Amino acid sequence: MSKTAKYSTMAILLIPIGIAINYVGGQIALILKLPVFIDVIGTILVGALAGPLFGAITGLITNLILGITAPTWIPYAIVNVAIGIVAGLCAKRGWFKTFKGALISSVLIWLVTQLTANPVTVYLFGGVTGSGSSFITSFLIATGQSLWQSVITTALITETVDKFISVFIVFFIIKAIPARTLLKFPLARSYLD
Amino acid sequence: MLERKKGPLSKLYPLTKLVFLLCSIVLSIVFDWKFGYLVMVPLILFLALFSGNFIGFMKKFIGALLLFVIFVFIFKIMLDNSDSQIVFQWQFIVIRVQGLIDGLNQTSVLVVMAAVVLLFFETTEVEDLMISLQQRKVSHVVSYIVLSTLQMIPDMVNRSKVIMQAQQARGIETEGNIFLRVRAFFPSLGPLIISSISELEERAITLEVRGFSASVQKTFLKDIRSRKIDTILSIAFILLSIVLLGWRIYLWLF
Amino acid sequence: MAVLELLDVTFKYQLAKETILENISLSIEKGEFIALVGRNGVGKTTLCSIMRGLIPTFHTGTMSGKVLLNGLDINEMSIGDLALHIGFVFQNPFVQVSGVKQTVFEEVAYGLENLGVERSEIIRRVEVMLQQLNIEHLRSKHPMQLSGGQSQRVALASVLVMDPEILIIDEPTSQLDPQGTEEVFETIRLLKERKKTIILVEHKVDWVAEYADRVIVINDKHIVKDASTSEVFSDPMLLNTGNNLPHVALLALRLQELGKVNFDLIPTTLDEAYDQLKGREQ
Repeated sequence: MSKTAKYSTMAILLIPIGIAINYVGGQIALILKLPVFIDVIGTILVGALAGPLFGAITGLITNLILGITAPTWIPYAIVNVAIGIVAGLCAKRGWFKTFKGALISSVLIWLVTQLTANPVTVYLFGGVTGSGSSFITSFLIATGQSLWQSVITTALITETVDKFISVFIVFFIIKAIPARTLLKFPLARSYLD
Repeated sequence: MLERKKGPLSKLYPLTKLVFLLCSIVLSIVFDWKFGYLVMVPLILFLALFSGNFIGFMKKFIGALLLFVIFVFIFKIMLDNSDSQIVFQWQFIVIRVQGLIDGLNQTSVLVVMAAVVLLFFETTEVEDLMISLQQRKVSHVVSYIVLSTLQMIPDMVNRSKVIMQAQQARGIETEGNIFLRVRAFFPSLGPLIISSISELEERAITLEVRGFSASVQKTFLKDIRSRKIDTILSIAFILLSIVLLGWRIYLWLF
Repeated sequence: MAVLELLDVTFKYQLAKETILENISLSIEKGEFIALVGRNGVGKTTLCSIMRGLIPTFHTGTMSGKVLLNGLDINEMSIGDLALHIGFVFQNPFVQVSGVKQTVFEEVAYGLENLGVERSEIIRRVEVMLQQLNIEHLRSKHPMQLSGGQSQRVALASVLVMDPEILIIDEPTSQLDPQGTEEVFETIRLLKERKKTIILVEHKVDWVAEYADRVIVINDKHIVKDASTSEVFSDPMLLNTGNNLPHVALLALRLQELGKVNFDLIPTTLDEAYDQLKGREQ
């Protein structure tokens, strides 16, 4: 009983930090005019330290809170939730500890992003993503491609680099967290011997 | 981040407005664009007149949707290969009725959702929403996460500004070519994340000391109460939605 | 019966090479005001965490021995429910905020909301507390935009308002000026009058000498002295454990060394010194 209380308080407190990191990461990428979003680092980090459930909650609440001022974020919550779950499952297998494991994790996170984001974009948003990448999509449609083809091609162009960078940022951050702090997170055993 | 809300709608119990929000979204999903654009959107705009900040609401509403709606119409018109009536024609651009209807159908749910969500938060303090949810047995942990996030975001934005200025002062380029800018990203975000995580331990102890996980029924300093009008409105919204849903199902079946 | 009791406690932090505390046994009676002294890093904060039940559950490691709260094993209770019995104020005041409140008033009220105290009673108790710690003027300020001294007092108020039977306070005056320090010690004295048990870590020995009943000295992993305040502070041996003596005691010792004055017992507070000296003319 007391054991779980300890773990969950640390993990609960990690969630707001994860959400804020999602937001601030996206903002910094914007300020630096980087061609990537980097807006799920927090979700991946929480998933990696506290497991799939906490990762999923971080993803869900991130998009709900962004939705307060920009409601078009809300349907994409499913993508952020899926990323949190996959990050958590990969970390449970210890994949965030090694370079190779992180590489596999980033492929899986990229894949689940494609699988969840594109249907939302096509069915709910008619192919529009609300960012500058819609110009790419409209160009592709104008060249005669179908909506699905155009959306997927756009997502491949913009999302692939993004997810790899995000996973590796998290990988290096975890390496920089002192062991005595790592100890207090649910997935500590995935990182310490 | 949270300012006091004005206007008569802000006096309603948050869950009353939440019921309205959910009913609006469900109904706009099951009905077509005419319901969304001709019933729900005018209704929400009318209600927004009582939000105490109509102009602010409209700015957010248009800001959130304009680009999206324009692109959807461009896509739908480009993808439209029906032989319906031509509305507009100029050189190679051809706009047909079907393309416009597709555009309206594609956007109606999102326009209604955006309008009702924006109106909800225009007239409801997040803290009040969380208290009312807790009064209906939603865990205080959810409430803590949401409220803490709303304080954490501006705090981290400020700290990241300080860090980025310090990086610039130490000669790390935050402008210039793409490689320089990518290199600037890591020292801007890394220290922020590590310092937040290292504070976590003492934050956790603080919460435990303040009785966060004490197994006691929590109370609230803020007096948020559901009045009679709230009960009446909630029941009315739900009944009306059930009737409309029934009618819709009837139309589908017969 | 002792309100808090440590039986032969030894602890080593996980990942640490050496134990930090060894064979700690002590017994604290209801209403006692105890001060813990020792040089930096000697394990005073660790001892506080042990008494708050945070060790070995929150701060993990290997612990032997037992901690009893009113005769019951503290590690059988949940960390959360212990908040009802033991208040804990620790060093860094800036992180001791809930992170969900907009004003100092709401911040101080947070613990009472969590304990399920009724609304009108919350308001009453918070008002009293703000007045007692002289932070009424801060009531509408944001809890994260305070100076070190201000947030230290708000942190103390936020715990005291919960009215626990035992209070563990780790260096509550590090950011305070003499006036603020006096207010904090006066507040602690009021708590003592209400039969609260107080455990305080404090470097300002002059204040400790004035207020505490008993002093526990920790050095090199062990309790090296556990006696009444006047006994501990009149013994120059304390200087060898990295601690200071109260100024009054230092002065008395130096006068005695000169052979000018002879004390029956080295005074540790101004009043004691005055009482001993007032009868002697020249």
